[in-house]
Amino acid sequence: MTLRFGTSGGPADSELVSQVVGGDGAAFGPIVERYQDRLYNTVYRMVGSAEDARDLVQEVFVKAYENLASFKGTSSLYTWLFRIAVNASLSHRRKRKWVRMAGPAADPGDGEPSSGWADPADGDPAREMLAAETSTAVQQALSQLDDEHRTVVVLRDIQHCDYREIADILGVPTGTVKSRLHRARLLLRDKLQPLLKA
Amino acid sequence: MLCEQARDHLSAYLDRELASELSVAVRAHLESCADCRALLADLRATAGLLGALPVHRAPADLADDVQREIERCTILPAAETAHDTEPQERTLALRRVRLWPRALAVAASVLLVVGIGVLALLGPAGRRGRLDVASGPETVPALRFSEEGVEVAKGGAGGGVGSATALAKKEAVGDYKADDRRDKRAVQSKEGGWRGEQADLAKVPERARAGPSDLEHVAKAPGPESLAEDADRETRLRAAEKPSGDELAAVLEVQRVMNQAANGEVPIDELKQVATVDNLRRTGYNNTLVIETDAPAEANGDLTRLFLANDWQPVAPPPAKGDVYAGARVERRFEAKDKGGAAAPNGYYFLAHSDGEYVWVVVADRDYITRFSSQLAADERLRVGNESGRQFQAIRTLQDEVRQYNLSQSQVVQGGGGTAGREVRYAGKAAAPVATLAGRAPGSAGTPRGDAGTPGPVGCRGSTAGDSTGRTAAPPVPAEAARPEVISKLGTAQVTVGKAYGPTTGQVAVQPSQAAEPAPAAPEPTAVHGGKAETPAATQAIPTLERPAPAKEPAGPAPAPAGGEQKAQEEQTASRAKAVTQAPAAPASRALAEREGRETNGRFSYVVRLPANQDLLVIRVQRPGVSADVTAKEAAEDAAKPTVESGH
Repeated sequence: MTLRFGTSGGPADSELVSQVVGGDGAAFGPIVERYQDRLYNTVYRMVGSAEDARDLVQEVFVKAYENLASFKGTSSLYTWLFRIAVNASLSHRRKRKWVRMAGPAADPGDGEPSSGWADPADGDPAREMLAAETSTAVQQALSQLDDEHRTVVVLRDIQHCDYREIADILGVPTGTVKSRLHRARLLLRDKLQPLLKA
Repeated sequence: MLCEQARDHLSAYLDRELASELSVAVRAHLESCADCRALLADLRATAGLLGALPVHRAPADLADDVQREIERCTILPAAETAHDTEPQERTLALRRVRLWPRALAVAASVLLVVGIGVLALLGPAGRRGRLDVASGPETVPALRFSEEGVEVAKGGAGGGVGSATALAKKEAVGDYKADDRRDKRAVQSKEGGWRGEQADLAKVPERARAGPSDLEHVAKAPGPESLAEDADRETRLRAAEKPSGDELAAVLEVQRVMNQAANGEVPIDELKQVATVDNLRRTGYNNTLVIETDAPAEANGDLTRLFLANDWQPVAPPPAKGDVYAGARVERRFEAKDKGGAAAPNGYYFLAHSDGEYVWVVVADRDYITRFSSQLAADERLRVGNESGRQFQAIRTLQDEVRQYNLSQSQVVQGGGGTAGREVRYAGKAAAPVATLAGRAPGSAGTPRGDAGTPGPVGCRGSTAGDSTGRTAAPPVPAEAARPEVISKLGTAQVTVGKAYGPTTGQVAVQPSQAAEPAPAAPEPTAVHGGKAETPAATQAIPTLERPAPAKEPAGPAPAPAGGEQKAQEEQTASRAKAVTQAPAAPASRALAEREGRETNGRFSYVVRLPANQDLLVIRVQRPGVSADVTAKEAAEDAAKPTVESGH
């Protein structure tokens, strides 16, 4: 099992879930705080937009709250939330073209600035420029993958889920995870050849 | 194990997800197969690139948003769904429903009483709004408003009436999912958190006292456009315009795509689909310029230099040696960074490329857009290709305007826009840029049209004597001016352009005497004039629409940049520098902005709705054939719709 930050300390997930289902809505707060960063980063990499990621993660938590009573605990809460998040992200991508009218320019205060917006004043400008360009290129390559490949590679190489967790989240056999991941990496390798050679 | 078999397992091997026996077999194969080792290394590196991506943390207020959304979604829907759900599943909903009706009832009563009192005090105007609310079908929004008043009051703090109004309007059209973060934040509780909160009914009267106009607004709110109007309400009010729902929706969609594209989040095909002249024009952006050219890469190079000269530093590194900087096939995104200059714009720009067509999208402070547009218009080298298109006519108009008012690039860019925090120098005999300044020698460029044939500026290179536009003639570019020049240095990333480029700042233009010296570090936004430091403010334009008096030209030799004696040239340059600082500053951006508004009236509709004083400029660089199609399309549209709205 992959070690994750933030899961230690505080009440266990199952305990919080029981409290929420039992009527203590405030117990949902720690759940949000515990998982929001990981969900946000995952969804951001899935949809490639900070604003959309924010909305989707919010939607994920609302759905989770509404359906928490149906959470049986057969899988971890983490897996359950990620399953909702992945499904929401995939659904969003399918209909994202005209799904929503966005407002003004993205608020720079929403989440950490994307890698492409590194502030040259924060360090070595050349290095930050290079990092920004690399990050942008990787994100673009990621965005070009189809849904199933992008999902599995995000969960593995960005979220560091193991194969079994990925299988649980996606509801597919681990063998499928293995083959998809391998295929996804090969595709990415082709797209990122210039960076790999560099 | 064969290569084919081993390769299928390499990713799992890399992740240590193989069973031990299989892992041993793969390892054995790798020891004997260089190709598979290379592939494994590639896979490892690929995974490494992904793993090295920066982690994005959730926005700080996301948890609050979640809480608010949960509360909002469980007020009414819970009651509706409670009948359809199993007892165990509806526990949460029922619990919340039990809590809310009492608060709703109390707060609604308070609102009603206070509202009536306020209306009585405010007289007919207020009464009108209230009557609208209270009569007929409009009573629904009034009720919604009351509920939202409770919602805000429950939060215990903050939230303007506008916020409540917006929320009420959302509820009125039955859309709880409306995305209006401003309003959400406005009603955000400062004390609520996850611990629950008590209704602060003391807040309600304050809200109700906000005035009849808001009540009236609520009464008139319902309609499919309301959601979109909410999203753009602030900007719309600022512009005192009320566009139609379709138009606004289109504008917002363009904004959405543009914003996402700026983050590299939109496929180029989608961007191209949206950022079309037709679409932008339909949505009201007049800031779309089309540059038709058979050499788009060169035009892009000129545009790039124009950006750089305006202190727009690329976030991305400069291209590798041998690359075509602006003609790159990949999208490149740049960010405006304030390098110490007050005039550094707040925004970004990027270049997209697809099917031989380039689209530059610039989002920046409105003032900057104005300046940049005028610079673009004044740049002779970008006047290429077919000029029959409307956009080109607009550019030409601006160019004429520049000349008519004796404007110049040096005055268009104001204090600190050019040299702040970076090196700016010329490595050659930079006589060329000087000729574009306002303080030019008699008969040189920038004087009103009609003096064709006079030895003109290098800055007008590319134009020919006596052309159809009446532009001043220009001599060929002196050989010296074609030497490389360093125009920008950002840390260790130095951008060198291969051709002399007419500077956009007076500060840059008047330092040829320092050309041969190494460029000193310039941490302060200081301009150098003839070897003397001068603050950018000294060259700032004075906003006046009066045509400036003829240039106060000191005695000096006529321009003879190419092959002339260096000393004479330096003297000449120094005198020009003096003239520049003494010449009446032209009303650069303001004049152009006003002029632009008139000239484009009837040609381009325009609605600028970017918030925070931002504007959008789209520059399309395309081959003539494409533009011809657009022009024909425009003509056809005009035939069908002779009057194009402008200004709304």
